[in-house]
Formats: sequence, structure tokens, C-alpha cells
Amino acid sequence: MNKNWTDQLPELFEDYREAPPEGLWDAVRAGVESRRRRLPAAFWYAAAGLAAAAAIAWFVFLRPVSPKPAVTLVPGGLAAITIPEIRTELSAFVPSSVRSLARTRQIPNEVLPVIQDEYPPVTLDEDTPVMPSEEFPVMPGEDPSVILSEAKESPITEESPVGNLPVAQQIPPESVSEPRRTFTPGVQITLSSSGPSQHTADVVNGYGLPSALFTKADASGPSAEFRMVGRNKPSTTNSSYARLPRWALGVNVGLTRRLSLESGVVLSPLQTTLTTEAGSNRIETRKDQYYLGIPLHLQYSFWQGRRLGLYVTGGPMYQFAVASRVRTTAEPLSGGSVQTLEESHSLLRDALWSVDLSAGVQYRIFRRGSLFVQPGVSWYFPRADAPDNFYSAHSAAFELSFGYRLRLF
Amino acid sequence: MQERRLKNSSSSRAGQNSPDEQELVRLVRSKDPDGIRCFYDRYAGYLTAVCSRYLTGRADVEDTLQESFLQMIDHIGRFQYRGEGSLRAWASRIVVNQSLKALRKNGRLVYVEDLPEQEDEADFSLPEIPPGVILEMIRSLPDGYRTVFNLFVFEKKSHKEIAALLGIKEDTSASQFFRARATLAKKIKAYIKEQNHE
Repeated sequence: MNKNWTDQLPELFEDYREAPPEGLWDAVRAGVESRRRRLPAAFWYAAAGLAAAAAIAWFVFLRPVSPKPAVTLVPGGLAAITIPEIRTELSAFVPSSVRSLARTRQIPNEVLPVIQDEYPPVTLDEDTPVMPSEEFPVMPGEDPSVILSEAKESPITEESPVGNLPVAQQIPPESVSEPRRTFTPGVQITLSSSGPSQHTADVVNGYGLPSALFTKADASGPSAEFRMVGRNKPSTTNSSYARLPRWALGVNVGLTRRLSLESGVVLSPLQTTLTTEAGSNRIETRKDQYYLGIPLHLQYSFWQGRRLGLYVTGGPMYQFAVASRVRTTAEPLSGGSVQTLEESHSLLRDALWSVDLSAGVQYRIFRRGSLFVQPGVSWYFPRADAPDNFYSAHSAAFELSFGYRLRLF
Repeated sequence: MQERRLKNSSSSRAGQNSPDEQELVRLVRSKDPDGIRCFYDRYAGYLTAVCSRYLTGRADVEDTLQESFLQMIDHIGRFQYRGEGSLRAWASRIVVNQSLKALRKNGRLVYVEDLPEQEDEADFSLPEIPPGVILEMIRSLPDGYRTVFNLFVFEKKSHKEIAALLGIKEDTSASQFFRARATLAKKIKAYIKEQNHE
């Protein structure tokens, strides 16, 4: 009786060939040539990177100067506005001819903007030294456009003792231009980390060492010999997929008052372990992979208090493997030392797309610094030829990120 | 610059001086037209046989092989050479994956749950039967039987792995395999009997 006749089939078909369908080569050739005409993915990544760099450069170097009128306190209960500093908003009330006037004009204290109580009161007397220029800060919760509209409602009048300073009354109201933008574009640096995520797959009972071991069945060397030893023995395999804490460094560029664009780099270490017990031995193969990701996320701030802010963020991320290590060890179950069978540092090439969606809470701890916590989910697009790791084992994964945002300007 | 095109004729430089697998990988990776043609010539026959084990329609086989070859050429950069034969094994895995995708897409994977067939004693010798005949027998199996049988026998997958791959229960995979084997054994015996009468 030959119950295992099916075992002979692979050998029987080892060199068996069928005539390919007519026209297959022509179809393959046409497919290759049409794909060759398409721009390679690298071109699009480079173009996207250049566009992002150009956008950041524009915000950093070429953005419109935000309104920063400087106030100088001078002895005698008077204050001065340094004219060259008055540009966007206040230029709506000061004709350009003013810029050719003397650099400093004295105006009474009562027309100065009210300084918030976070700043210590200043007593002005003869002995008060001249203070350095200080910016009008936009206080938390304040809207620059509101400040501007309030300023419009109480413009400098003809009676104001500003000397021969031309006044707003001389400017027709319709010629008062609106500020070009009602928000100050900001750039933030983000440093964050996501907690680890682990999943242990079910135990698989079978015979021999599983084909899922990373070293191939046709590989030579000690692990191949070990595989042959365990070939027809009952085996139990435990597989474990983990993503270790990931680290991210990003740049967040404001687009509107609520919307911003975030990009950067994300380093994700993955660890995959297969442990098989066959016969009197245990073999463990551990694969460490490092992926570098480039996210392109849109962030929408839907509530902003004095210190606390809530937002949602999401978008695609492209990840590619940058380093990997595969190590196979064997250990006799009867006791004995662990023997390293194979160790390889060659790169296991892989790249994948994912889509991330998170909601975050941000708390401002300093004037420019905020801490945030950001729970979210990521969806990794599955691929048939993906390597066996955390991403191929989980299409979706939960993650909890936390970090620090530093507002540059 | 003169555009290099893939040759249309079957005679190519690659056919005259056949490179080894590593050299072939290098040529395909650099999108060398002769290298791609050589890669096709070397593996098209074998991969057609692999694909024909899973798919029965000629058009399906052609579409799947075309997509598989394009996938291989596009993703050859991810292939890691592990000795002679590893390129063929890698290409074969891609064809199997694409074939399974085609079966799922066409909704053909129906698993017939009838009474298990009693397997007779297998008193035949396989090497006496031409592989082409056995292939036709495998192709005549219902889609569910055939797919599980191929994955278990040729791809060396366990029933657990097959169940995960096809989205079925492990028991279903096992019963489909035993029915496929019993059906195939009957066909082989009938063939041998017919040959002996002739």
C-alpha cells in the first residue's frame, strides 16, 4: 500500500514544462514597455520631497513679515512707536509717507495697546531707563484679527497730540486695506515616540520545520541540516510579531489657522520570532527589521484653548526597509548550550504604504513648547509578496504616540 | 538616444549564451531587454505548468502569467539570491499567489462538502505515468479540491497555513485534500487499467 504517493508528485513535476500560451511574450513585452514609459516612483517621491522643502523654505525665508510693532517706553509718561517696525496691520492706518518722517514719534500712553497682566506693570518716571524694544505678543486665546478690528474702531484722531503725524481721518475708510492674512504661519518641530505593539500568533502543530522559517528550504549550511533532521518529526511552532517603540522627527507647517501639514521621518523597528520544537531540538529564528517612514499628514485643530488644544491628524506614509538582521539559533531540549546556526545582516528589501489616522491632545507648557498624546490607528496595505513580519501579520494596528512640539515661529 | 526595445524574435543573445541565475537577476534588475527575454525563455514553460495546476481556463492562465512576469520584473530588486534554484522558487511563489488571487477574484473557490470518499489502496507507480496526464487529472478536480491539493502537495503548506491563506477552516482544508487525493487515485488507477487493456 502506498499512502504517500503524493510525496512523489513534486519530484515528478520538477522539470515538467508546458508550452506557454501564444502571445504571452508579446503581452509581457508590451507591459514592460508601457511601464517603462511611466515615471518611476522615485521621481514622484523626489518631486514631493522638493515641493515640501520648497514650501518649508518659503515659510522660513520668504513668508510675509507678521505684524510686530515695537514699543519703546521713554521717560515722561510717553511712549514711542518705532515707525520702521510698523508694517502690515498698522500700515493700514499710517500712510507710506509716514515712513519718510522721523523715526520716532511720541504718542500718549492711552493710545497704546493694553498690555496683559502677565507682564509686570511699568512705572514711568524720570528715573525709568529706556527699555529695549519689546514685541506686542499675541496672547493665548487672542485673535490678531480681533485686535486689528478693535484698533480700527478707535483710530488715532485729529485731536491726538501726535504733532504733524498724518492721521487716519485723512484716509478714506474704503482705502483701508485688510491685512493679507489673519494668521501667523508657524513651523513646529515634533519629536515623538509610539509605544510597542505585540501580537503572538497561534501555535501551529505540524510535521517538520515550517517553510515559513526565513531561511529557505534550498539554503545550504547548518540550518538546512537541522531542517532535514526535523523533517518528519511532529513539531510545534510559535510565531511572534512585534513592533518595538518607533521614533519620529517631524516638521509641522501651518497652512491656515486650523490646518497644517506635517512631514518628517519615522523609524520603526520590527521583530519577528519563529520558535519551532521538532524532535529533541528547539530552533528559533529571529528577524529584526528597521523601516524608515516618510509621512505626509494633514492636521486639523478643531479646538484651541489658552493652553489645551485638540486636533485630528492623518494621511499616507511611505515606509521602506533600511536595515535587517536574521539570526537562527538551535537549542537541545534535553539541555545544552544555544548554538547559533546562521546570522545574516543583509538587507531584506521591502517597501509599503500605510494610512494613519490619529486624534491628539496638546498642552502648552512653555511659550513655544507643548506636550502631546496622540492615540491612533494605522492601516498597512497588504501585499502578496510581503515579507513575514508585523506589517504583513497586521493590516491594522493601534498605536499611542506622545512627544514634544517646539514652535519655531 | 536610441530607445532600447525588447526583442520580438525568440532568438536572442541570451538564448545563445545562457547566463546563470545571479547574472540573470542582474540583467533583469537593470531592465536589460535581452536579460528579460532570457528570463522569460528560461522560466515561462515551468511557470506555465505551475499556473496550469491552479487555473483551468487558458485565458486565465495567460492573464495570470502576464501579471506574474510583470510583478517579477518590477520587484526583482527584492529577490535575494540563496543558491541555484532560488530564482525559480521565488518566481513560482509569485505565480501561485497570483493564481490564488485570480481564483478569489473570479469567486471560483467553492468547497464541496459531500461525504468523504473512501480511498482505495494506491498500488500504482507514479513514475510510469506521464506528468502531462497527471496534470490533466489535477486540472479536472473541482476548484476547491485542486487548490488545497496543490498548496499541500506542491507548496508544502500545512492545513493551518492553507486555512489562513484561503480563509477556510483547517478541517475543511484537510477534508478537501483527502477527497482530492482519493479522486485523483481513482483517476490514476482508471488510466493505468485503460493503458493495460490497450
